[in-house]
Amino acid sequence: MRPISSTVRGSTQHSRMTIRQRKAQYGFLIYLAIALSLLTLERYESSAPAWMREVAGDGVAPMLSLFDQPIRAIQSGIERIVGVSDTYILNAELRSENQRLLQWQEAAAQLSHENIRLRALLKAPGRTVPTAAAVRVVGVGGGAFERNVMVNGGSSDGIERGWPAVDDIGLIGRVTELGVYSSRVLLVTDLNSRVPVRVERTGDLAISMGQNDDLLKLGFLPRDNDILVGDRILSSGHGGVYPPDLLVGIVVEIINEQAFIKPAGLLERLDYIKILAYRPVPPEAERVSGGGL
Amino acid sequence: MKKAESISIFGSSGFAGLVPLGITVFFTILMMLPIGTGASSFAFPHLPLIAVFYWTCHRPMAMPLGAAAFAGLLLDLWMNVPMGLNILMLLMVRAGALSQLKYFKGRSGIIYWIVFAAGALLNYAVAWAASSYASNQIMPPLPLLQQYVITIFAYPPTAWLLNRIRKNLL
Repeated sequence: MRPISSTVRGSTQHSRMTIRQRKAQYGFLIYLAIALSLLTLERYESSAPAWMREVAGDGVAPMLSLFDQPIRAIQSGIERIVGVSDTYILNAELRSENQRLLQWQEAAAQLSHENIRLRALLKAPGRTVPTAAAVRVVGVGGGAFERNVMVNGGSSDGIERGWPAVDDIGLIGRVTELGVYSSRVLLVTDLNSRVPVRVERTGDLAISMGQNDDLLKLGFLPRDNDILVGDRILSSGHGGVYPPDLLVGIVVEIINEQAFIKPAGLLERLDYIKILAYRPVPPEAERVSGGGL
Repeated sequence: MKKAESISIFGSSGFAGLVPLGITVFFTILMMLPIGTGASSFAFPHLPLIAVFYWTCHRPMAMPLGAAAFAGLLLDLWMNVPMGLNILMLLMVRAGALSQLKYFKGRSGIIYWIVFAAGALLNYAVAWAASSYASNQIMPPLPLLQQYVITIFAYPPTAWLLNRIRKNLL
């Protein structure tokens, strides 16, 4: 027969376990309720999640910068080792490219000069968009569904929400979340990204649509378009989010009359990027002063 | 074992008890770093999901409910995904592993892998539904499926690494 004290201890332990189990069940339900509430806030586009993310972004950006440096060093080290064998061939290619570019540089300088003179003559608005800040990509985000990057510049660097981001070559996205020291740039490849564009050669207007893939889809092209592989796609400036004439990408394939663009920005190797201080002001305010003969 | 049901964020094993949460948070930061292919077609394994499953199976006291929810919250905040999504995923993987642990505890690593793959599939299905609910539109399932497959293949090396850490530190 079991001693009374042991039975009492057993039942106390049992009741404690029951309390613990119940506590755990309540705990699980509480956290589940929190998760579902947050998802509901997202569904109804409450500003609370975005604000929390901006604050959290400021907290994690310095940590990412810290980890980022050794990782970039290792990556560039590997690239250097792998690239040594190609150096000779690459050198020859670069020499010939340099020759071509020097000729183009002369032509570009002449055209630029002529362009400025003609703009002044016609009192056409200036097209230069000043750079608000040069920032570094310190993190990527978005999980499976979104394509965005975190950069180490925020409102303290003069950046504003909605401003476009470019790299050396072309458009990469726009600022969607703004912290004090960090911000998030939604890339043009994101499913929610839409950029009003025009085909440089024909002037046809269209919309470039991200599809969470390497390529962008070109939608809303006129029916009688004659778009070709290799056509350059520039931002049209419509909508006021992106300035006109930024290189968005190049048409790489056309399948069943659907054109696909390879983004010009090197999205897979982002490092330093520029945030443009773009405000779509009325043309009157942008008119070149003076000039005219 | 039952102590694991505590709802506090930290386990009750002192400093060593913080190692699993610390590693899970480190994995979260790792997911954000612009490594390898970068941002354009980014598909990185869900390392915190693996970590929470692993620690729930091997050191459940060190991965209490609060720790899983906290790691999920950090992921949601830092990864810029719908808030609540990763909290839900990590809570579910923890609850699933705990409820089934008695059936596979002590079995070979492959069995753990299979259990993880099955649990993660269910988890990703719920994640897809939750994402669609949060964004108020039917989300394409393919990106999640891609991440699921990558996560499954990332399980063996990650579990091996966590095994080494567990044997040396805990």
